[in-house]
Amino acid sequence: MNLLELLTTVFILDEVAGCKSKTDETSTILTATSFISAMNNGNVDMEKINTTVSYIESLSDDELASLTVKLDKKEESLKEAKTYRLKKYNG
Amino acid sequence: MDNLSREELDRKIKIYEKLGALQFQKIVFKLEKIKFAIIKKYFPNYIKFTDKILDFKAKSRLKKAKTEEEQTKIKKLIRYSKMYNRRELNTLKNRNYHINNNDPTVIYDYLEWNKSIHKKGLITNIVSLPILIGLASIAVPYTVPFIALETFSAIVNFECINIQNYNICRYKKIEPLLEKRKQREVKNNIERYGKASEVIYNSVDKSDTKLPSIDEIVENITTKEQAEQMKKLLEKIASERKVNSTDVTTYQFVKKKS
Repeated sequence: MNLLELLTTVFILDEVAGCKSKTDETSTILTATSFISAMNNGNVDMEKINTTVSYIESLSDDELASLTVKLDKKEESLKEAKTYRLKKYNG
Repeated sequence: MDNLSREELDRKIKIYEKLGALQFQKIVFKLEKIKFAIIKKYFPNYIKFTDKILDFKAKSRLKKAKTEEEQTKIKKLIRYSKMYNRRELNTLKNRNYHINNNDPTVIYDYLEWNKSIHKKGLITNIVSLPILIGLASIAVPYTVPFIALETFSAIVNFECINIQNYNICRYKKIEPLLEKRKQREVKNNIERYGKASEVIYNSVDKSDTKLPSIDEIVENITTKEQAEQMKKLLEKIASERKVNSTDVTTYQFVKKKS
C-alpha cells in the first residue's frame, strides 16, 4: 500500500464514493435538525427518556445531593397530603 | 461509508491504524484528561462561561431564523448543548470521542460533525501554508513561526480526521448491535423511569434556552411514583459516577503456560 492510496482513502474516497459528510454543507438549522432527529429518532418516548437521563447526568454532585434531599421532602409531603372523595350530597 | 461491506470497513480500519489512529487517539484521551482536570481546578466558572457563549449564539441564530419551527429547533439545540456541556464535565468524557451508554447511536452524528470541523481546519492550513512559504521566500519577517504553527495544526487536523474516519468505520461495523442496545436501554429506562421522565421532559421542553432548576423540577412533581422513580434514577447516576471516578483495575484472562 503506497502513501497515495493511504491519503486518498482518508480524503477522497469517502467523498467520491457518495459518503460525503452529513454536516459539511448544512446550515445551523439543518445541523440542529440533524442532532435533534438523531436524539429522538422520531420516537417521543425515546426523546423523553433520553432528555431525562441527560438532564440528571448534567447535574453536578452537589446538585444531585440537593435534589435527593428535596425529593425526600417532596415524597413526604405527597404522602401526608390528604385525599378527598366526592360524596353524593343528599340535602 | 454508509454502504461499505464488513471486509471493506476492515480494510479501511487497517489503513487508518497505519496512519496512526490508535496512537493519536491515546494522545487525545490523555489531553482530554488534562483538559478536564485543568477546567475543574482553575476554571470554576467554566459552565457559566460556556452558557454565555451559547446564549450569544442563540441570539444571533434566532435572529436569522425565519419560522417559528426553526426558532424552536434552535432553542432546543441550545438547551441540549448546555446539558451536554455539563454532562461532559461530570463524566469527564468528550461527546465527540465517547459513546453515550444511554443513547449509543447518537455518537455517529458527533463523529461526522467533528470530522467536518477538522476538515475545514485542514483546508485552511493547506491554503495558508503556501502563502506563508511564499512570504518567507521573499524574506517577509516573522513568517517562520507561523509556518511551524500551521504545519503543526495541519498534522493535528489530519490525525483528527483520521481518528474520526477510524471511529466511523468501527461504528458502522457494529451499528446494528448498537441500535439493538439503544432500543433495549430505552425500553428498560421507560419501564423504570417513565413517570419521572414526564416531569423532567415537560420542564425542559417548556423552558426557553435556559435549563430548568432542580427546584422547578421538584415543584412540577405531582405524584409519589414520579418522586420515587426520580430518586431511583438519581441513585443510578450517582453510583455510575462513583465507579467512573475511582480507578478500577481491569483483569484479563491469560492462557496458562503448561
